[in-house]
Amino acid sequence: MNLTLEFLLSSIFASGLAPAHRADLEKSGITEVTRLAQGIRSVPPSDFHRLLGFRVSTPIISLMLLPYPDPAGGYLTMFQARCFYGDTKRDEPATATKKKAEPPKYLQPRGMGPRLYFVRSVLSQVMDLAVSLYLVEGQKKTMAAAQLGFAAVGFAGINAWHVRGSYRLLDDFAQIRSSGAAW
Amino acid sequence: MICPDGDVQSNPDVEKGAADFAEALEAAGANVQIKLLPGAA
Repeated sequence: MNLTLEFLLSSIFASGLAPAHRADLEKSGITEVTRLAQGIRSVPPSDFHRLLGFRVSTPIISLMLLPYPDPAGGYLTMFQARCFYGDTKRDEPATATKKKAEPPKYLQPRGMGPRLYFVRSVLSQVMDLAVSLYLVEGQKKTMAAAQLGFAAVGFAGINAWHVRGSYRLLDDFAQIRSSGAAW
Repeated sequence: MICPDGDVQSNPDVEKGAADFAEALEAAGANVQIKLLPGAA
């Protein structure tokens, strides 16, 4: 695992949250219990480039780390960082009518392929073959659905469910539904 | 159940992505529905 990510997720680092980040989660209905269970925390500016492996553009004033919980325990090496620009219009979710040149809402380590986003509080339901799965686009919506008791698993974008270069489902699906098992 | 963003109703690329996802899940044996979560519309 990336040493900076490991440090940020360790008990040594206080898992604090900047006011803007807290407001963003509250707007999406994410509770503090969920936030702590999912390991969400603010990233010190001095760690931006060490965490991501590249320098972020200057309009970004802060990053909120969304680590990806590993169903087997701990965290995956994959994570995303929600970008904040100090400009409420930019911090709003992008819409289809906006130009493609809009700055990114999330960043992730370069070269890392998509992974499924698991919510710890509903892992047992997700793994239960008798329970219907809710595959939800976006981490925050996934957490919100999980808080309501749905067996929710997230994907980070409408094309983040398949292996790059093919339409094969991510290997992560094999963890929750083996081939031939009921969905 | 696939729950895409609300722009699935207005963005053809998102609509196609959701349909491709559903097709891949069905090929894996799933019974799939696409549904918007409340607040995503």
